[in-house]
Amino acid sequence: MTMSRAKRPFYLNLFKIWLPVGGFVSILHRATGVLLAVAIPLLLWAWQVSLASAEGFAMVQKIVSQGLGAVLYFVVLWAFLHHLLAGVRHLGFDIGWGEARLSARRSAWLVLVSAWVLTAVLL
Amino acid sequence: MTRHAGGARSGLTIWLLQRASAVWMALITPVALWQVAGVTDYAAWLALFQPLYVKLIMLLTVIAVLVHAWIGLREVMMEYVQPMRLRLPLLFVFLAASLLCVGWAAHIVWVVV
Repeated sequence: MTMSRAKRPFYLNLFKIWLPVGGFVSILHRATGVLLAVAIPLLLWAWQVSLASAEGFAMVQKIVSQGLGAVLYFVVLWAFLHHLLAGVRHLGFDIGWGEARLSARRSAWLVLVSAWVLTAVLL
Repeated sequence: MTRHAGGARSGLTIWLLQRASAVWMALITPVALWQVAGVTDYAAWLALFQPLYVKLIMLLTVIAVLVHAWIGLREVMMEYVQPMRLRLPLLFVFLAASLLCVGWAAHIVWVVV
């Protein structure tokens, strides 16, 4: 037994092993969650400034429409949509929906793709 | 079996809070997107947050977001931040920051008249 264990391939080349799509969605769910948590103060700030005056409103509009601000806006929007869709998928699992391997794989792909589609639609 | 501070016995409540806040946010998102899509200028943006019920919904939503975020960060740290002397202070800092954010949000909706 120890022999076979010793002979087992030690294979942690991340370019050669690949997660099943569900694992990929899961890791992105976590990463986007952390990102969104970090974005909370930024969003509160934007909300406050945009409500404080017409100038502030125009300023926030300008920030999210060009340069680094636009990139940040895009990333946060995609992160939010991915996290939301992956979260709904998980709520489905909680009540026993789509737990079979095939349907879980399908819904994982659906989450991955629709997050991008929705981002494009809402941008 | 060892019991960890901030872990034992609070698991089910935390699990439920995570789901309840998730459901609330999932339900409010389409409504919010619909409302924001109709905003073209500052006056409309301001008018959106004038009714008292909108202020209350916004406050409730901000609280849901913060509760959800805190539980999520706790979950992540339970895996990547093992030493308790590090994890507990971090959780406390996140809690304090969350409370500040609730106060901040209350101030934001309060000044809209």
